[in-house]
Amino acid sequence: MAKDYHTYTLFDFITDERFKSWVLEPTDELNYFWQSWINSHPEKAEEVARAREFLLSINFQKQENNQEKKAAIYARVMESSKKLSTNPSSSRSQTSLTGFTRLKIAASVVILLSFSLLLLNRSGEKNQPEKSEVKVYKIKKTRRGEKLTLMLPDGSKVKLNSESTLKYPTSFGGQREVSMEGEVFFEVERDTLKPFIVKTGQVSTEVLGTSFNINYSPEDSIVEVAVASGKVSVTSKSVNESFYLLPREVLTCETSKFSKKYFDEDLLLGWKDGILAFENANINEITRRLSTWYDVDFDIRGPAKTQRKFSGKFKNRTLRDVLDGISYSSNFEFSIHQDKVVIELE
Amino acid sequence: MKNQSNSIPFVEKEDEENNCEAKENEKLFYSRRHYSLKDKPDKAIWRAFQQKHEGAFSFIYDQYFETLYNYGCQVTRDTAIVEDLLQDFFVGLRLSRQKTSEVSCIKAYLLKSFRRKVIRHLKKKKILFLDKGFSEGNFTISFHHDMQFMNTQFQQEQQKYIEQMLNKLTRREREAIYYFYFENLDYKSISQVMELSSAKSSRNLIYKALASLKKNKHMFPEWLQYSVMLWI
Repeated sequence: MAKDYHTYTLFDFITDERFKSWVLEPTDELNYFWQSWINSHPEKAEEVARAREFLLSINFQKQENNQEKKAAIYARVMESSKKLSTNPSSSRSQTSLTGFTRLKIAASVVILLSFSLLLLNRSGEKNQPEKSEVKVYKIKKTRRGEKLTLMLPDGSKVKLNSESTLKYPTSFGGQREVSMEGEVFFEVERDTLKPFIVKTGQVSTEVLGTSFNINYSPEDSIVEVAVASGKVSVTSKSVNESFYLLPREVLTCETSKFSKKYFDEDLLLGWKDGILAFENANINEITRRLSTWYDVDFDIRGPAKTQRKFSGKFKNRTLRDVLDGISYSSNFEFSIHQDKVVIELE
Repeated sequence: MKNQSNSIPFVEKEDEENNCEAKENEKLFYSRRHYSLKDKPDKAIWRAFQQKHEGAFSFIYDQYFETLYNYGCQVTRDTAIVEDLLQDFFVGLRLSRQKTSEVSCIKAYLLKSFRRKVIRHLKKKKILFLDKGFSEGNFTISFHHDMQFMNTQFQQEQQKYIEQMLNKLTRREREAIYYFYFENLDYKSISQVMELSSAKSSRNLIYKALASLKKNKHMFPEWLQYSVMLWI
């Protein structure tokens, strides 16, 4: 690999595969090599800088925001593949939806739809009851491994953590009332005329305009309200009492037991920014949370003696990275398989 | 590719009826089966794909969709055609997966196969004319450095001229530059993709392209010629 890099001109650098790779897609190995080479050849520093600048200036048009298309095409590919595998006799030209074929199908679907709409309209007209104030609700659910961000009819923004549900009306009336299960972070638009109320079982949380996190587990009957900004009032029907919460305060309601404390932002709210944080967590808590976060199942094997507790934070890391980090200080081995993760306690 | 996106561990679902501005990264098909594939060599991933490992397919799709999509959009402005071709391509890939031989560089293999498909399609529709000359609008190069401080007009003029010169290169030369400087392929892979005889052929193509910049410097205004010489 010993090349005469010190004799290189700018042209030589920009046409050299190894140099170019370092500039465009640096790896640890390439960085190490070139940094040390530059350090031992300071007279070449300027030429290298020019070459870098040249390489980084060459741009082509790059398509942005492809996620929707990417997902849609994936879905169609899998659908086509399924059709072909269950019906091997059908020729490819029939199922491959290239351009024109797709248009034809879309057209027939549209015609079918409008026809049935016509029919519906005709029959409905006669039996139309008196117009009443019927509220139409929307229910959004997330599964294990999913998070969802959406906007409510008043412009407030909510983010659902995994395995959570939010129910809200398509339009708010005199009050803005929603209900939820699981964990949701709210950023409520200020409206002094319309209070925003979140119902979680016996507990309801009222705000005028603020950002806060609610964690409600119906099975355990525990509601946790944490305030990021603004002010919140929490009322419990079971004890007919109200509590006020300020930023950085969290209220935990356990049937008739209430406790207020200060909270660590990353620990409680980090999830909405992709931060997975643990504090003195044992292996059961760790696997339970990872299960929900990554949508994986765990199989824990080994002696059930007292395990070390783990504290740490991970931001947007893969499951493997997180397990690497935790297993290092907590003494267990893990292996990731197609359908589950096996933990071997030591 | 200059910035390979980092895989995100959880999945951000997108709400179809909702026009929430906070659109975060969405990888609906990114499943836990991916984790073990990230560090594996291409040969192993392709072998897994051949053996009908679904995680391998979604990994390949996830990693290289943008590469193929960007390529398609260099060649035609009609994104609908590119999307249809991509869909067809991946369906076909799955159908014939057991028939393919060993693949040591998945990116180059996919680009080569997709390129063939795109060219065949566009030729059939008489959209693409692959003559030796240059055709505008394909593989258009823009020459600018985001990080640079564009303080002097001199620098801006210089960049503009270099850009003009680069776009006067033949289509083939610009295509080679695309693979070399944008997709970061090596000479051997470029030859594979463009179906040239050897790694030397693609190296010559790049050399010729850049040398013509030097050759054409007389087309630059005199005050610019000196600095252009500094480039190459």
